Amino acid sequence: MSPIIRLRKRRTTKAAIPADRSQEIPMFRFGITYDTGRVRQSNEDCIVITTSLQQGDTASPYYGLFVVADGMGGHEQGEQASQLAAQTFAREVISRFGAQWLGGVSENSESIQEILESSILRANQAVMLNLPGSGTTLTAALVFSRQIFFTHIGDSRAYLVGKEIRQITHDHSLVQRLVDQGHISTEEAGRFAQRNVLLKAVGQVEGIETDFLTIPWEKGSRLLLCTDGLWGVLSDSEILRIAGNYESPQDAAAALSRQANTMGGPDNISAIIVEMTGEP
Amino acid sequence: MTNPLRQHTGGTASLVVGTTLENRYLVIRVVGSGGMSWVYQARDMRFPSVTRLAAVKEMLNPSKDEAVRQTAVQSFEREANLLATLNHPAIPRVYDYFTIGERSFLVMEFVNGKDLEAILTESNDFLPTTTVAHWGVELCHVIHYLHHHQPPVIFRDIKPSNIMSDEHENIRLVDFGIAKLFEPDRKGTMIGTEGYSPPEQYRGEAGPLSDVYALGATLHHLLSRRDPRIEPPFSWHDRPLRQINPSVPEGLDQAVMKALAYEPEQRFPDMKTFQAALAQFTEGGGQPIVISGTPAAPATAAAVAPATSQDGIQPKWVFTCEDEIRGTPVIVKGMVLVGAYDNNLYALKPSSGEFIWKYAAEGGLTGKPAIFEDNIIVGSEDKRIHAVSLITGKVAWTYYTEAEVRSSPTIAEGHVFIGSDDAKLHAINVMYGRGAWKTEVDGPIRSTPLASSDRIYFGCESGDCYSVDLRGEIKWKFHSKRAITSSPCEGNGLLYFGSVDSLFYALDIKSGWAAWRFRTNNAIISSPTIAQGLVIFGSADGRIYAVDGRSSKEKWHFETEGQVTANPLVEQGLVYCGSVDGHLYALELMTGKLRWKFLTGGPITGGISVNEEMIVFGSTDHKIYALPL
Repeated sequence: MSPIIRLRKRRTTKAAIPADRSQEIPMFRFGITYDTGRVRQSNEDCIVITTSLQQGDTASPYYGLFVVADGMGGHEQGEQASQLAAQTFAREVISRFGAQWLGGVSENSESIQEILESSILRANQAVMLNLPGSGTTLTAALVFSRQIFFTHIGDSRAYLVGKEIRQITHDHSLVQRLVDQGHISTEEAGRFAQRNVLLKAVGQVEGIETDFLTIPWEKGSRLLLCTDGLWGVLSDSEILRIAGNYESPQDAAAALSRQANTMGGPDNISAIIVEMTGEP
Repeated sequence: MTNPLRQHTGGTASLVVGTTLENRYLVIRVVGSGGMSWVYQARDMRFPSVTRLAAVKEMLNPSKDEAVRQTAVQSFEREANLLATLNHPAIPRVYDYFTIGERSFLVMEFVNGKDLEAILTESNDFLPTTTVAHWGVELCHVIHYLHHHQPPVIFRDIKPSNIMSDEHENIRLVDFGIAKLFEPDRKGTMIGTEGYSPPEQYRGEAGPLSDVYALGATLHHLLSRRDPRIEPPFSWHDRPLRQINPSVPEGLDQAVMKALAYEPEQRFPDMKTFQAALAQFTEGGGQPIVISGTPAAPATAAAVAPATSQDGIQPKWVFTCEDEIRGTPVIVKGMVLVGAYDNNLYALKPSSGEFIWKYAAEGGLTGKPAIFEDNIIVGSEDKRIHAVSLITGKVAWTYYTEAEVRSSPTIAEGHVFIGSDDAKLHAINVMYGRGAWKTEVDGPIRSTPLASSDRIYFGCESGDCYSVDLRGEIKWKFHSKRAITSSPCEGNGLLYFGSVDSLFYALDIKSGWAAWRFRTNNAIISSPTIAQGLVIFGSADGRIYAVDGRSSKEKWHFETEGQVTANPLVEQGLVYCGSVDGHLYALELMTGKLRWKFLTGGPITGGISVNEEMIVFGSTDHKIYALPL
């Protein structure tokens, strides 16, 4: 009789992360919507997202970069401008911040603020040189360690959405300035005829001044980045209500877009919703 | 160089000095440049026996779209033709224009002089109001001419840098915004310069009354020396002319403010009326001008106080020691406790400053003592850490390090954490004084460690800031270029501290990455404090700063007359901080405005403590002061 060789039961390999333990590794879930809307012929917005994860001997296991841009300019320049700016910006951030995060040594020891601001200046130069006469908004969030670092110019927006909704960025628009100066009220601002007139944007003049801010990340809250095709049509409380109905960020983003279209969809609708899945 | 026009490499000037353009204009030098335009001084060689100078303006339109480029060139030629029809002494003549490839050139009369922005920058004082009024009158005249030309021309970009004063001190308008033709009306942005432009110009509705506003803005800038481009827009009433420059006559102030009315209907209806309002303020204009002779107010955002030196503050009590007080007092358990450089730790009665007891160490005491139950713990330059009973004034335990202790102790998790000049962070059991562990770093530790969420954070003299866990293991290390003597504080998940490299740092507390840095003009030894989102700290550049902890924007700074190396304290909306100039300052937290200041006999380098009734601090004049709150 030939010996019966019992095959040992194969254990599952160590490499796979068991589904129920995936929450322990800090990482992101995100959803996006990128919709032309119901009136415009083309989509002049741009979204760029990049996320990275490492596990090992490191105190910084992840980061995520989320960018929205809303372009303007005739003859298709709007589409090109938003993409050029968002790509240039992301490329700069990845090569300076990302490289250092992966163990590269930086000679300059720049702060995150300096990296974000010079990356947006590079994007500005690129648009001025290659697409003069056009421009774009740019609102970006770098989620890293326990902070969300924002850099921003224009009237695309970032919100924190949790139990309440909080607008993080300040619009660089004429109508917002008039409200800040007390010349018109917030209600009048909602009816202002030229709501899309910007005071500054990427690609218009050299040496733009951008806003920088860093806030601590709160577990359970979501980050929303969107262009005015969304916030111009839905109120803050509507955004909060709709987003709160969906457990998945992707479903929430799609629902926001649907509602914006139901309300007329006058402009391109772009949004990113980011949720932290692990402990920050 | 054979061809004076180089290939377009992306926004560079193309004409080379010494070459001749179009076989006629010899390029002498570059006189100015903007984003996509350059101005040269050139000589017109069509007149070889005389020197006839011209200004050549080059404009680049690198649009890849042929249709866009053609449109720009046509607009340029239309505008050049229009300019050629203008005939006014204040408008430089147009001699020639042409387009080569992607570049268009305008050849104009060369104006030898300076623009008004340069004149303003080069003078340190206010310009004479009669001169500014005279310029205003001349500008009204030429802009009136433009408005009544056929077709009417709206300048749309009146500002000091677009106005020159030539060699005969006559006004010339330059830069008719012709370069703006190369920036076709962009959807969603405005033409004109932010700061000088009226509200309606942002909506694309510029008219003759927009020029009235912009001229008013220009005159406001020239009279006040305050650049509207760096102020919030439409905020003229925050900068009243006569308050900033008392030599401005009342009527001139009113005229400028009328031109700056928000609603166009409320401004002067035309340039002629504006001119009449300004004419009386020129030299020989009829109205006598009273100049009060007060010197120009400093153009800084700092709050400087005119208050008297004592502001009527009388100390509750003063206690004199035998040497300098460099450290920070503590008010606790009915006692004021403070270490002095005379090696003594003093316990005084808070109400009267009456001496209760003193404890003698064998070296100077420079830090801030810490309290645990009935013991007070303090480090000394005698290399030891002393735990002294509050009740008896006798020693409870001592712990030895290998060098002077100039750091202050922090108590957490049943341990004292303190640094020493022996380059180690010591963790000592607080009850018995037994060493738990020591972590060696690269330099003496003089800052106070911060204990927060199972970590200890501290800086050292080698320029490094460390995060160490409760077993002494280094979790991260951040390097700045010079010593970190400042003790860190925490807020918003960020760790804040200053360095002798003159930068103030905000690090992400978990990873040690620099989130932002704020530059001051000299070393920072002072330790920051945080209140209402503002981080407050001093610098050896003489200032006390308030910086927004999340955006790194400066909210205000206050100028003292000496280095600020002491640590500020915030209590009930006031910032208290001492300076090397000997004063203790009390400033309003949100604005930096001075409430009062108190002068001592020597530099103040230590910190401050506060209870419900008083503020206690020491000075290098050997005294401990208690001031009423």
